Amino acid sequence: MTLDLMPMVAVTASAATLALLGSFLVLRRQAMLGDAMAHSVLPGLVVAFLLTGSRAAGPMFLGAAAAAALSGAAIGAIIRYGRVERSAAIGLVYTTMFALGVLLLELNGGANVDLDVDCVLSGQLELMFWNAPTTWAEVLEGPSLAGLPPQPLRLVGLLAASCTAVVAGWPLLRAVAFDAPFARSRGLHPSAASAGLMTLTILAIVLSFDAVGSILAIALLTCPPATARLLTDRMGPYVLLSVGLGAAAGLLGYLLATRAAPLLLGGSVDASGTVAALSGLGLLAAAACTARARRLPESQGADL
Amino acid sequence: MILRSREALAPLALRSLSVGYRGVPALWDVSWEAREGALTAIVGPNGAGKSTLLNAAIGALRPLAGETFFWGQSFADARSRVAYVPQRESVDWDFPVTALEVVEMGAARRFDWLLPAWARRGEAHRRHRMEAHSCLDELGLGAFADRPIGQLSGGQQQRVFLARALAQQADLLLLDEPFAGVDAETEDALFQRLRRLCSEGTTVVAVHHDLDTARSRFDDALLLAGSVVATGPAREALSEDNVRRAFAPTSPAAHQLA
Repeated sequence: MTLDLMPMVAVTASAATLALLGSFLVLRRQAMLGDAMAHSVLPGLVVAFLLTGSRAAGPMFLGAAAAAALSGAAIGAIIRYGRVERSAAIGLVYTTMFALGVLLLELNGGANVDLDVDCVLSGQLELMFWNAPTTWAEVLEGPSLAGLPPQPLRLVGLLAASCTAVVAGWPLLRAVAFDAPFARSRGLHPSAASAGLMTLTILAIVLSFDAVGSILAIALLTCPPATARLLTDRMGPYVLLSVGLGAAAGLLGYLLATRAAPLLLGGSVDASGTVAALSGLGLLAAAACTARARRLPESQGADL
Repeated sequence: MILRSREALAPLALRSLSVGYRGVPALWDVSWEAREGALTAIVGPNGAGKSTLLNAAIGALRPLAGETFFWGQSFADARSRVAYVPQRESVDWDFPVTALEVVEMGAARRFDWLLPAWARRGEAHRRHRMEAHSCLDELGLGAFADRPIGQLSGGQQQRVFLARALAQQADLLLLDEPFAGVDAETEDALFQRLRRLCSEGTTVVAVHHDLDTARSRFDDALLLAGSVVATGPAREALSEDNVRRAFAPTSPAAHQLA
């Protein structure tokens, strides 16, 4: 057991959760929305932090949810009254919200060291170092368990909850994502299903944000699902592969940043950035490898 | 509420239905009844409110005024007897599901919406799978059951949608442009299947864009142009005169397009 087992668990669990929830956003061609949420929750988080003076998960989630709701309303209003198309409105709102968040941070920067621009981007993995017990005797003694950092446990819990929700509601989520008008006519509630997924997604962004920063959330909501989508045409394998790719990017990225980089570059690099870059490279590789195969069925289809 | 017997019997009855988007009316004061066991076409120019009518009937759009009855009941009470098929373009055909999985959505009832297939190995699940297979077979898609829907042609996709509606075993089918992008041969096969459903007592209402086939293939027609222009047996409702009125630049629908 190593000192940084917990950061490693946190990065991997957060990457897997974001990839799982992001796979539904990508399916519904709403990847932009995930990106927008990951950015626009920032002012909510900063305000919640300034009001409570702590990084407790509850107030942070409320702040993030309020900021997300405000962004949603602003996007709706801009589409309606500004007569701009949807993606332009989303782009406008989330950059503004993120800028507002950074501004709030800078204005209050001197007052606290717990929340600054660096930890917004990359999180505070070093806070999760934990002296893991090396023998069973140590485990039973207890004090080391009391020192267990809460963030990794929360992230693992959220991963378990998200997996349970997705498995339990699988046929419903699939029908709603594929054909909402049909699903509604069968008495299902597409808006309730997407609200549920949105809540989990915001929760995942907030918890990840605390642990690993916002860069990771933005990349992991989109890259692993998009990569998985290139590799399979079945929904079950797609979601599984997405989670697997997310977890792999998290674990590998963390190890690269903390183990390989010191050997190669003479010092460790930012783990979140490495994970994000790795998932992006994975997408690039999958796109390059499947480009030929994806062209073939189309031309065959035209012959039929 | 006491209903007149005709209302209680009609599979679909609209009473003074008006529907609008953001306050601009798209359908105005439509009263109409579908005849049981008939194949009915809803015809009209672009923007006449054909799809709007179906969407309002099934409660996807809230009407400005008026009511819809299914055998005298609200849609919520009658939904198990009604199958709705949206326009083909309304869904993403790159979605990673197979033809069989789409048709199984039609066979699903209540608790089938929970837990994935591998977690439900019961008798009911096997029966649904058999039903879905036979619905695909009926429309000549048996060999395509395990194909991702993105690999199917437009006509095959349209047939998958109809197979899903068949799997619902409904008494009323509401189809939005079921023949769009379908080749002549498929169109013929689909009409034969719908005709057989009607002879078994099922009522079929389809938004349709082709006037010639609307006259020759359908029993009844509802000619719309923002409001009702004509109803009745297809050939009479779609007379040259009525069609000219519906598609005239002075009709309400034409005004909205301008």
